[in-house]
Amino acid sequence: MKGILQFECLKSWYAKKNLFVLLVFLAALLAMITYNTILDNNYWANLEEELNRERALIEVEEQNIFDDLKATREVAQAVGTPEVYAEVEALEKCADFIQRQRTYNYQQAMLAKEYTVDIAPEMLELWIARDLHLLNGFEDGLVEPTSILAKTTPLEVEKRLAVNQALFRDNIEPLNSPYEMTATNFLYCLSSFPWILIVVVTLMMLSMDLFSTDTEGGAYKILYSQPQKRSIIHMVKFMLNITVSILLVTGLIALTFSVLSLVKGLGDVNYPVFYMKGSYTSMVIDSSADTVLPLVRWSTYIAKVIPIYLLLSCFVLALTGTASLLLGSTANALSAIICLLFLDYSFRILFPPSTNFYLVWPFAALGFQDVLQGFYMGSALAYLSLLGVSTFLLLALSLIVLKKQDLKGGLS
Amino acid sequence: MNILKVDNINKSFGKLHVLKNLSFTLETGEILGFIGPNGSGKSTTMKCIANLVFPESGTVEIAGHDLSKERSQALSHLSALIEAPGLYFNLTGMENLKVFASLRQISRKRLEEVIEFTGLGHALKKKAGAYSMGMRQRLALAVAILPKPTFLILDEPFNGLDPQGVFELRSMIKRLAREGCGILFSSHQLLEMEKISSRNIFIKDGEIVSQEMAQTDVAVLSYKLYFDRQEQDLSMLSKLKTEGLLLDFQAEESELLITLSDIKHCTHVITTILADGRELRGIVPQTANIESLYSHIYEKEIL
Repeated sequence: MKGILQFECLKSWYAKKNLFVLLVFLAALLAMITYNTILDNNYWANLEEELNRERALIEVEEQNIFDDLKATREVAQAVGTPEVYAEVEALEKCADFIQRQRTYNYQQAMLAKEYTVDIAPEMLELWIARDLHLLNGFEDGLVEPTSILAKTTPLEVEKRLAVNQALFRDNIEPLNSPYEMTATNFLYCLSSFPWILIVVVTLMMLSMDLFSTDTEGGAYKILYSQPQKRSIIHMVKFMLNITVSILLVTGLIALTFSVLSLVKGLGDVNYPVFYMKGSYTSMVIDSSADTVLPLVRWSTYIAKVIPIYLLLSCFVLALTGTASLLLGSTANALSAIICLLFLDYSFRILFPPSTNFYLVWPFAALGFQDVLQGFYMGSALAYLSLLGVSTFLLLALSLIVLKKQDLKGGLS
Repeated sequence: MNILKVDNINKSFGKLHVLKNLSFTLETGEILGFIGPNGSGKSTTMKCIANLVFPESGTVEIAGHDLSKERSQALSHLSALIEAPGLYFNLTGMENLKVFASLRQISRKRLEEVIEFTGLGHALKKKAGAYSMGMRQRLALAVAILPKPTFLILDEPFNGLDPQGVFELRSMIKRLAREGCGILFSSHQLLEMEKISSRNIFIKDGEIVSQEMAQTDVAVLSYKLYFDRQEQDLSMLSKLKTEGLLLDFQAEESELLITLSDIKHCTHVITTILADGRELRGIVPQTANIESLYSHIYEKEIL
């Protein structure tokens, strides 16, 4: 066993492939940070533009309402029935609502134009006031389905309001934008789809030649004619690959986190993040509970992400390693991986998150945020079970195949 | 003592029956040549012995250990170089040696001995993928002999070697055998096999066609007889061939070249030829080489 362990360690050390993959991984992380920083820098300018566009549309709606109001008032003066007066009253309420929304919008646009950290609390207060007013409008039926204000659903407004209220209440400095790359927000972003693919693809690259590198050059003839059981060789290869890959990838994420915390700051570990209660205690999310999700501290959230991250990594490594064994070539294993990722992407387009399909599709767990915030029917516990069982089955399958199969391949 | 005992092994790949009741043994210190055309089952047999391919029936014993039951003990005696050199082409020659040395915890001293054996010098710092076929073969051989095996399988070891390499490998194989290592090896270079093997096995379509002692015993199957030949001799020789006592004959004016089907028919055949009291002026055993034996055996198979 010691011999096999040394053999595998030396082989991957000399091959330097892992070094290359890890450098690419670092480059991808840097690209992600750069991309988000660009979005962050342009955030307020873009928001101002967006608010101006929204205001132009609100003004059109407002004008229509005032025209209606004027016409109805004239009718009321001429006819004077209670129904017409009630209609006038409703339109006045509507006009008042849309006028205030336009005012909020204008104030937000003004603040966005000259946004600095100093005016962050003022902006926060404004968002809270506007969202509270908007929610009241939704409740009173003042927002027409065709209105620009209906672009954001009441649930989305409630979520934004909950976070802003928590920030205001706990006196937490808000992020400049959702894209600000503080160390904490970097991890939060990385744990969401599609950024998590950087980690997944790296893990796949680290294990795609786990068995095929021996088969392709014919070195398997020496390796498997050693006085060691094939099951031991299998176990050492997988365990070493899983341990080393997870350590290396996690280590590099930790390194990036540390560098970012020095350069951009750690961020507030008490920053509020949504988390579906019961994710780790029940298997299925209660879909009837479409109320605002409870908030947890960022540090608590990351602690909840770790188990699912570790198990997803094990699953991905086991899957790619098994593909490398069954397909017998690195190129084929890589093709299979690309096909799987393409399938996952297609499924995400084809099936809405609430469908039962995602209960049996382990790749759904790629978006940790989606899982932990209850976007799927399966809870984090359900995905932990699915990933655990899938990993075990893959390892068992590869062991059975390796123990029973005639070994062929390589140059002849 | 048998270092290898193969008993009635059978192997099929799909509908193709590759090995059919194959049985043979290899003694300690013996060099056994494994001869056969492409696709005859040589490599599959070697893979069965190295536990890379599982036979459907029969047993393989290495140093008295049943491969299916005592795998680790059996394989601890074996080193194998089967088909193309099994190397990591993305690693340098030296890295390959170190990686494979770590598999069996080979000492630094032994590693240095083997490095010297490869004769690759500075080329060991180059990637194995950039090696010529001969260099790869040398490196693979070095890997095979790293653990000082007591049983060595060499499949086509002379492939790609230059004359110096062939000479060195021949010496090495003989030295290993002298040191007690049993060697099973195959090659298409029959003359090289003839020079080093103590026994040869001829295999075709997964069956052993013939197990012959090399050189000496092969030689006495053919004789050139000198005597005054007569007309009726041809029909008598044809009759002997029909009866299966002679494999072949070539009659000229005053000499006759005969090839016996078996050494035990020697006395009977010569007595029959000289039955009418003719005087034998001379008899010269023909030094048959392995090539003629090879063509003989496979010609026999075709017929």
